[in-house]
Order: sequence, then structure tokens, then C-alpha cells
Amino acid sequence: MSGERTDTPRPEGRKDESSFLEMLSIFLREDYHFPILEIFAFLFLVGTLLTSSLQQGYDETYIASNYFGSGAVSLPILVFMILVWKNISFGLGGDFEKGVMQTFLTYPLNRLRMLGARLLSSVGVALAVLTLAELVVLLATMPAFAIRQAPTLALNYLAALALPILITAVVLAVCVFAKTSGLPLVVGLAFYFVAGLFLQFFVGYGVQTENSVLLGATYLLNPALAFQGYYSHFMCGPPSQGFVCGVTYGTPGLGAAAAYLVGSYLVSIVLLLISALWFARRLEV
Amino acid sequence: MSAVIETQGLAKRFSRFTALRDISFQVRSGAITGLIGPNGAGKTTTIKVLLGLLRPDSGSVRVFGESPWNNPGIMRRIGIVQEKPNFPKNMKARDYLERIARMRGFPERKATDVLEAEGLASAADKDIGKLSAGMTQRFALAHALIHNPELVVADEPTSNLDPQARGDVLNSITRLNREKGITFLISSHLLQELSRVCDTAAIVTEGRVAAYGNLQDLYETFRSTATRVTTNKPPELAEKIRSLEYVTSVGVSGENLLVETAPGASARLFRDVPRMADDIGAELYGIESKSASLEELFRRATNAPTGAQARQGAK
Repeated sequence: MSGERTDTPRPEGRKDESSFLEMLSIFLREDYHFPILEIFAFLFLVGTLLTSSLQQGYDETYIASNYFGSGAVSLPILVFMILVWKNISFGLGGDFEKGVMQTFLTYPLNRLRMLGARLLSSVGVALAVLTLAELVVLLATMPAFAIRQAPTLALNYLAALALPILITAVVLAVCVFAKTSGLPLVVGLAFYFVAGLFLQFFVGYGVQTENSVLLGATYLLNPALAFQGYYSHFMCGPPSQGFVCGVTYGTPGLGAAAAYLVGSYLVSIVLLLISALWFARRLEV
Repeated sequence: MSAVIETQGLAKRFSRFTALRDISFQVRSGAITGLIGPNGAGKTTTIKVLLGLLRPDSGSVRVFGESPWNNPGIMRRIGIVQEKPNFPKNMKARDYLERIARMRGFPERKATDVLEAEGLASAADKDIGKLSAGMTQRFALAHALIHNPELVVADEPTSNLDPQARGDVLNSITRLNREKGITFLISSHLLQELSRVCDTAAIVTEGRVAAYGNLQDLYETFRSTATRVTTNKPPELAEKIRSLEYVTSVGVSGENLLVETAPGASARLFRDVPRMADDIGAELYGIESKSASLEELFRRATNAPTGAQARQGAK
């Protein structure tokens, strides 16, 4: 066995922090061991941002509001979010399926901190890279616009991420409750495509039928649609790109859109808390 | 010696399957305790409850006096060898153990030390996923010992090992227990192996502890149910012996009688048979207990017809 010189542990106080950081390093290693997909996603994101140009002929606030929702910029965001769902599904879910979680849960680390380390690796790192890349490229390529429209850009970035974050919370919940790897990703992708198909339709239907409950629920699921509605009255004039022009029934004000945004994140947080509490208090492996 | 592990009436059900019905036993500090039972008896479920991986439906479990569920303090004091060791497969053996050493507050050099001690020095820079089954088992033991635990819980620690490696693992366990005072709880269905190393055993079957206690006491309790008596008047002596209320059967073969008694009653047989032989004028050539192997001990303990009888073994 080991010699006496190596048998002295560090003081108790530093162990919790050390355990968390070491688990995080293990998860990072698991999630990004061969980060080929992440590198391509990053290049795709940066390339798209560098080559994208701002729309012309519109109010600048409208352009800022539509920046992250435009097809060119939203696609790399989606690619990044799919990587996040993949990381949760095959990282955390893989740990359940392969039995590695049984090993991890016998380490001297509180279960909540264990899950926190896993999420920081699977979700936090990808989101940080995405946000930093967006920020750096925006500031580098169009600094004046980015600074002038910072609040609008920030609000709409958060709105653009709201639905993917909600789906991330769903993927996590499926993963923790089903303890499997493939299903959460399938559920996440299905949720995304179903939402993409129906939510825009629900807005139109809600406006047509003046159904405020349907509109509210839709905006809560995807507050980017509420912001689209709000900012659409900045763009009357040039040909519409599918948005309802001007203020119509159910078009939210900025305050209401912000409330939907907060509400959406709260729903995600509640889902996250349910998963975390289940993981800490009830999860058996 | 104080109890490191104490369970009382543990029960656990999965959907329609009842894995544990009544698991009660103790692991005393400094002892090597065996959890013996056939596959499906509930050993792994019991161990998972002890490690805080499963919650019992009822009953109590205490490890170092505390509940093991979500209890990092206890996990600092335990080393674990799981039945199917699972580690991140794409990490190098040494790299992973260095992280675990740091996590547990030890210098990373400890990783090399335990790998060498388990004969894995040459595999230290291999991916864990590329280790053979036997090497993975030894890696799991190194992983369990890296933080100088007070208690090691090992679920089938010798599975996947060849006989030589099994012997090495058992020798390691005995040495670590003797030299470092590490307490061991070892589950196995390989009874002969456990009889080599254990001081105490809990015999588990169908989710119950059928017998628990010091291994020698268990042998003593269940040892003497079969006794060979050799005499010059076998039929006559057999007839007399059959009249004893604690005798369950008497077989005659030549000059030999094979007498089966209720558990714990053989001492009375040793007292009564010479007297009976005298009464009928028979010459008694010999009277001896059939030595019981751990296999027989296990078989008898798990055939115990009542819970009371099972608990008698625990005394």
C-alpha cells in the first residue's frame, strides 16, 4: 500500500470545494473529451455571425429585436442547444445507463452539488461559449450598433434562449426521472420541432379568435414570440416578413413581454428545481 | 468493538418484486464480515442501501451512526467495490485516480501508490475502458483504498478474477484488516472464499437474514445436525436413538448410524448415546460430528423453518 508520506489528507474545510471542482473536471472530461461537434458548432456560430449583415431599411430597434430571431443567427444557437441536450442526455443519462452514477454518488459530495457540477459542465460551459462568442463578435463587428441597442439585444437574446432553456429543463427532467440516455434527447428534439410547428400558429389563431389564454400560454412557452409581436409595430412600412404588423389583439406591451420572459424562465427554474430535488432526495440508482 | 454498520428490519420493494424483507445485522469495527447468499438473495440491494444509493421502504440503517443517504461525511470514511465496477471509460486509470485522490483530500501521488499495490502499474496509463475484467476489478479495489478508508464495502470483489487473482485479493483483504485495522463487509456467493477471511457472517436468502453471527458460532450452531455413530448393534441402537425427541432421522449403513438432530442439539446426542449403548449392552466404536463446510452451514441456515430458529443463529 501507500507509504506514510502520502497518507495525510488535506484539512476538512477545503474538501467540499475540492470535491466539487474535481467532479467538474471529470464531467468536463466526459462531455468534451472529443469536442469535434463543439468545435464545428463554434466555427459555424462565429462564421455565421461574422458573415451576417444587419437588415436595412428598418427601424434600428426592430433590427436589434430581430437579430437573434433571424434564421442566420438562430440556427447556430439551435445547434449549440442541441449540443447541450446531447450533453445532458448522453452525459448524465449515460452515467445512469452505464452505472457510473452509482460510483459518483458514493463520492464525498452532496447530491445537489454533484448535479450542479454536471449541469455546469453540460449546460453552463456551452451556454457561456455561445454567449461570449455572440458578445465578442457583435462588439467586434458592429460595436456602435451593439452598444446603442444593448438592452434590446440583451432582452431578445434572453427571449431567443427561453424556449431552448425550457426544453433543456424538460430534457433534464426526463433524464433524471427515466435514468436513460437516448429518450431525453428525442423528447427534447420532438418538443423543439412541435413547438416550432405549432406556437407560431397558436399566435395567429389566438389573435384571430381573440383567445387571450392561448396567446398567454404560447408567449409563456416562447417569449420570443411576445417580443416579436411587441417589436412588430416598429417595422410597419417595408414588406412584412410574416409578422403581424402594428398593434393587433393580444400584442403585448414591453412590460407584458418581459413578464412572459420572466415567467418562462421561472417555469424552467421550477422544472429544474423539481429535477434537482428528485435527484437529491428520491433518486435511487 | 463498536458497530460500524447497523441495520434493523430493512425492507425494500421494487414495483412487484420484494428484494429485502427483513435484513438485520451488524458489522463490528475491525471485523471482516461476510454477506453470504445465492444470487438474487438481496445482497447487492442491501449494500446499495448501506451506501445510500437506495432508500429502504422500512427499517433502519446506520453507518458510523448516521444515515448514509446523501451523506458525504460518511462517504469520506468508506471505500467501495461495486459488483460491476463502472468508471468513466475514456479516462486513463492513473489520471482518474489522481482526481479521486485530490477530491478526497490526498496528494495525487497516492494514485500511483495504490495502482502499484494492486499490480496495475503497467496499466496506469491505459484507458479504464480498455482494462480487462480482472484488471477493472483490481482497479476498483485500488479506487476503494485510495483514501485510507475505515470501512470497505465490497460487493462480490472476486468476481471476474482468476483463482490466483482471487487469492491475491483475499490476501490483500486479510492483510489490510490486520495491518491497518480496516473493517470489511464483503458479499459473495463463493462461500469457500469467505470462510477464508471472514470473522462474522450474515447469511441472506430471499431478502432475509437467515442467520447472523460469529462464523465459529454459526458453525457451532449448525455444525452438528449430522452425527455418525459406529456400534456393533446398529439396529438396536438406532431404535433407541429414534425415541429421542430432538432426533429427526436415523439412517443405518453397516455398523454406522447417521443421526440427524435439530440444530444445536448434537451436544445432547453426545451425552445420550453412550448411556443408551450401555443400556442395551452395545459397544460404541465411535461417535463424531460430520464436519460442516460453509456450504452446508449456508444450506442449513437457509432451510431453517422459522424466523425464531434463524434468529437463534444470530445469538
